[in-house]
Amino acid sequence: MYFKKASLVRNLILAPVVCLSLFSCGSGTNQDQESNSASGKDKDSTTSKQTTQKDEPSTTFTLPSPLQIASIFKKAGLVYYPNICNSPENASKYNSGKMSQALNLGVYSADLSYCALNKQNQDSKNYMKASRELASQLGLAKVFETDNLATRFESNLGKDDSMGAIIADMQMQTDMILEEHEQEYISTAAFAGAWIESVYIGGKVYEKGKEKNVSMRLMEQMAIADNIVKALKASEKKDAGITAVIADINSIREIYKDFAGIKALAQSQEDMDFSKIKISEEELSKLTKKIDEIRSRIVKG
Amino acid sequence: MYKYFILFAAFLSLTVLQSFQDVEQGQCDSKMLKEDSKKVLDIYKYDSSKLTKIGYKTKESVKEIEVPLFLGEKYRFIFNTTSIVKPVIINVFNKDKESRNRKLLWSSKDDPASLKEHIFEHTHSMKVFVDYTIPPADSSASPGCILFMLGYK
Repeated sequence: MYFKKASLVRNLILAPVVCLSLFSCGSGTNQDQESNSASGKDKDSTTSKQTTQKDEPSTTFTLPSPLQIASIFKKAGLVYYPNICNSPENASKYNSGKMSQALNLGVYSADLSYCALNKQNQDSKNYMKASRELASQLGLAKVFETDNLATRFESNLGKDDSMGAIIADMQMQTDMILEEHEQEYISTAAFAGAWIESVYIGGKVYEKGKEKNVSMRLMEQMAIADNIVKALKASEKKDAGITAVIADINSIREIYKDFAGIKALAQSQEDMDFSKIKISEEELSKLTKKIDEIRSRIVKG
Repeated sequence: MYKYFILFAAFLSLTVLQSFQDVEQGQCDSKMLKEDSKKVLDIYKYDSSKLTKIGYKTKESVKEIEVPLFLGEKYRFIFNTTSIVKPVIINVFNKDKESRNRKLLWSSKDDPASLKEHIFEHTHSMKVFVDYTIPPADSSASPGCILFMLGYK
């Protein structure tokens, strides 16, 4: 009897202790993180961009949305030309891996923004369908189910302000889902694809109309390339394909940094003002040729 | 009979522990923070966001976010600090924390302590740097997070 009682007491004590121990192990990560990086400001300021294995880096980056880039180009006079964008029918052929799907989801989101802001209803519908197809393959189907986004999209076709708001909501939902599943690198890769498609469209439209504001905005976009590379490098270990994307964007940066106007501005230490920079036709052509080459490779899948 | 006591004790412990975990996760509910912040965007369109984990150390520390912008665009910066227990000073600079002679564009230091959604509006920059200056605290201070959301019009 005594042993039975002792055993009961022991078990009653042990059960919560075991549970508590399990909990301590599970939640230890946060404490470990703090103690691993507990040396404070001194460490942060001397190794600002280094990080311990478990700690968040002390410097992080944000990237603009493809919609904002399209909106800036539109304000600069970027008119609509049919057949510049990637064919929406290509969506089904991007099945060689997550990186190709993410890059091309970005390509389609740039195409969708370009068409929607230029009130191209049928094309917008086609790009929405293509984006949805790729998003589903990446596990992002939920984006289109939230807040009736797909239905709102259909019923607001042709109203560029409403379309802008809907595409911005889609972006937020995508960011939320990817963050929830710790797959922000997909979002960064998609942005890289969107950025390449946006500057490709900008280059093509410039070739046709020679609109100076468009070329100035094209130069401004080049400044974003640094941030894309930094953001991609931060998640390079997540997918082997990221290294190739970094190399592609770096090859665009190299050409841009070699422009006489950009070199002069970099030496002057003045704030960047792209409206004052003179870029020759030859320089622009070299840049757009490189962008074309990279973009063709991406949309081929 | 005592088997039931053991099961009950284990169940009770797990329930209590789960509620602790919920509290901890609830402090950094990214979805809730984003949905609340989006309301503050008002007429600005959502552009991007960044959730930064805030862990308190024995010395003051700084976390920085590099934010690319476009000249001539109007931006609204929202910093949602609902999920932190100790106040963090938010500063926005024109250059990164390694640079000398950087200019402070905005600071939250004069905002009332009760304010949980800090707003800064800005234009005329190609890039800004958001610095979170995290005060020192002992290891018992609960970690939290700050949500930064950027809108444009």
